[in-house]
Amino acid sequence: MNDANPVATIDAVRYLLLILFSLLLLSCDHGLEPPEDPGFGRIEGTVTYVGNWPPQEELQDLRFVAMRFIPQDTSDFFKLNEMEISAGLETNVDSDSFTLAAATSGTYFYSGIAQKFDSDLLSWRPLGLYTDNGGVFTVTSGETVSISFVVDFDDPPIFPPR
Amino acid sequence: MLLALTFCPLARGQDTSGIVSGNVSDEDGAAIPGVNVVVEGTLIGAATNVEGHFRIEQVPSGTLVLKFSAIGFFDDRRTVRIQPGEEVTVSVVLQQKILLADEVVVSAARREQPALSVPVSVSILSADDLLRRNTIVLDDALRTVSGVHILGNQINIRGSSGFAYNTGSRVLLMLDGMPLLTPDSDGIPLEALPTTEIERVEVLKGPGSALYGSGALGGVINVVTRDMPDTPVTTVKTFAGVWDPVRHKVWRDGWSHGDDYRPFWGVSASHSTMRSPEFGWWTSLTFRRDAGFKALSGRDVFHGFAKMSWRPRPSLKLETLVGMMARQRDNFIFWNSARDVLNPGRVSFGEDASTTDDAPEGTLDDFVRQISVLPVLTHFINSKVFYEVRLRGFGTLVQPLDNDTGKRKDLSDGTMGARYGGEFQGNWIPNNDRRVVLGLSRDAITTKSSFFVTNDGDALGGQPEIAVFTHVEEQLTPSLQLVGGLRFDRYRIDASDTESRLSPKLSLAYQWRAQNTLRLAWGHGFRVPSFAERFTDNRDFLPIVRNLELRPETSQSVEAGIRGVAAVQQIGVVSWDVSIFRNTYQEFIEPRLVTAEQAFQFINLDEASILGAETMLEWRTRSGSLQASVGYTYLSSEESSTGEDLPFRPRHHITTTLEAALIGSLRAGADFRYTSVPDKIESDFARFVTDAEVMVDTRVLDLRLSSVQGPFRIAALVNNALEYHYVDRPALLGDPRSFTLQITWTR
Repeated sequence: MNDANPVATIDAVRYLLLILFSLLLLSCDHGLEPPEDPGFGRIEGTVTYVGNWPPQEELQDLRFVAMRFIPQDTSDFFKLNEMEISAGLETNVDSDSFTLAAATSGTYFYSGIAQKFDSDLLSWRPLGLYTDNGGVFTVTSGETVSISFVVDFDDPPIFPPR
Repeated sequence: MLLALTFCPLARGQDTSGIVSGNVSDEDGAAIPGVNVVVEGTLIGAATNVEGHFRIEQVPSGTLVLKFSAIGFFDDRRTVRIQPGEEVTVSVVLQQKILLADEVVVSAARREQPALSVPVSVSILSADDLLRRNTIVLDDALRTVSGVHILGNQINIRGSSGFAYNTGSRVLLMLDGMPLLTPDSDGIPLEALPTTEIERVEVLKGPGSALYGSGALGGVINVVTRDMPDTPVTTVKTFAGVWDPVRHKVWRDGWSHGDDYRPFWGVSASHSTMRSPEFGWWTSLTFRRDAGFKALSGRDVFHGFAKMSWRPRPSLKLETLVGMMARQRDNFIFWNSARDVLNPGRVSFGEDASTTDDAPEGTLDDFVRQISVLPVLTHFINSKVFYEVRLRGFGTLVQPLDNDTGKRKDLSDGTMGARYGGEFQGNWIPNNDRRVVLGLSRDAITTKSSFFVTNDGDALGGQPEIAVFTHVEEQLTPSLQLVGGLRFDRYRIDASDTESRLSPKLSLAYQWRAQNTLRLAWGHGFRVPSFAERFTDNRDFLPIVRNLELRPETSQSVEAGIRGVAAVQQIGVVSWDVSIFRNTYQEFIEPRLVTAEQAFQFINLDEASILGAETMLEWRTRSGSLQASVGYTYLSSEESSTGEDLPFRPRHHITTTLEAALIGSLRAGADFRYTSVPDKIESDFARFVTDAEVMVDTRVLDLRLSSVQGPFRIAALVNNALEYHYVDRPALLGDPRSFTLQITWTR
């Protein structure tokens, strides 16, 4: 067919493949890397309750929740990775305090006291919201944010927010 | 009369004859001795000498056809016109029959046939492929197959499966032609396969439901175990290696063993023999231990297999394959975060919202036992009719382990299940151009699991199925083959619900110039939802609710492709397979977060489609001293109702392999695979699991070096040599770099 030397041809192909593989090696990075540490700050707060507490059977759980987004419906309560949740709070008290010792740094847009009113997984509703500064606060790494707000049982916030 | 004279040389006088002479060579120009050259239709002929030369005298004048044939080469014919007293010279180049033409598959048509001529896409992994890569679990080797993409242990063929939390598979695993899916999730029990005893693995791409029913919606993987050798063979294989600590200090610092080289090792022994011309067997035992490169990811696995073959007379054969596997493992489900990939995460939800210590962890440690019994009877009634009776039994017991004590919990907290059934397959070969298969199949599943709540309150939910199938092959012309198939399946979903499906298929294979096959295939597929997809109701890890309304999904596939092989002068042997395909799915089953249910649920999507193309190119020198292959798969998927991509379907998937003989028996090899980040990553999982939406391209290079010294084969392997970190499935780090030494002794 032609006068090419078979050995030379095979060598050429061999070198070509080696070059291709070498290029492949050089072009590769090391893939997945740990993301930057977002850092953690501290949220301290106090809440004051006004009005009459709901019946005890509707107080299955009570927590302070701070969200880095504004929820649009109850399915957004699944976004556990974008919210901070306090330990359970006391019920039937005039005021209470809460602390989140390791809150992810960032801006929180929707925060307040959440009440679990039924046994269903998503039977949560807001009782009262932090509203200063438009309800927005920022947690900076290594620093503490202090907030306070009022829960008025006679004037619960509308959910989902408009 | 003229014809009679032409083809009856003895009736003609010498004065009317002539001489034909010439040379026969291969594609490289080398002379081929011993080629039979005959005047077709006569006994006149000669054979080539050592220089490839032939000379035939007393050839009747006229127009004649010369037929050239030799062992190892394809036949060739030449038409010559010869005048009385004339000498005609003919030079012929014969095409060598090469490896691909000799490869056989059984899964394409339930019978052995040359891989080159099957009218469907099929890839083959040989026993040598598995040995060279130190394949411990089959998915290690399947990752090198073009068009196969594995997410976790979920196998995708051409994007069929995506990622469905390891519940339900659109790929059917078969062991020696018999289905082998777990009774609970229809998962593929890759660890329950005898990797040391595999003859080959056939990967059939595209719906196989017309032959194999539900489960074969996206394709079929058929693991064929080896036959008994003529002389006894004993093999002992050991391997040991270490996981390299991960590259990033942040990750290593998160786990107390993050800076350690974590060991893994294993040993397997097998023996096979023919005790007599009628009876033979092989058996293998394997144990392996892996400490795991991340927290709570260790595993111990022990499995044993035996195959017996008894042929009391030439027309009757009984084969039985028995297998068992016991595995204790830490099942790492998802990471803590992309900054803490070596530790399992926690789900904080509802009552556990305070992230207390009793919140569920991202692990599900368990002790699993599996057993399989697969007898096959083959009886040849005569040369045209034979039948096979196959029985199958596959059982699974899963006991969760207590996270604190490590002790096994009661079976009532886990799963026990069995698949059992059998089939009859009659084969009729009326002539060389026609084959007919007719079969009947019956299967059932019995599963009891703490994760499932079945519809009718039956603790042992059953999913019996009966099917009849037929498959017809018709050789329309010497070059054109038509294949048709039809299968009718009827499933009982529960006490009040049955489903029926008819799965037809039709394909054409056109073969020309002996080593090229053009194929066109069309087929329907379907899949009944698995127990796990339909009945899982559990909130221990993620909120998942059952969906009693879940219907079977169906698919329709069209494919055009060409497969060929050629010996190219001075280059070697080149083979290729190029195909384009379109798979459309109706009632496609995918997991979704359903707001109304406040949980994940498997639901039927209206319609989805996957359009794609696949190319495979292989090359090797004639001596086999150097071989290389590259495969590329392109996928474009769409969910019709939203117009968006289907999640977890990477658009580009590339596999490459290079093997080279160095000095003496020393050989080197490399596999590289690239998978692009899926265009769409299902994000609902990331609502619970931190950074579950994080994915990167996959670029993994595996290197190996091996040498044979007497009865020993010694191999060194470096897997993921580039130390490239990727995500094996959402929120799970893929295997980091590892170093393995493997020694195999064979007598």
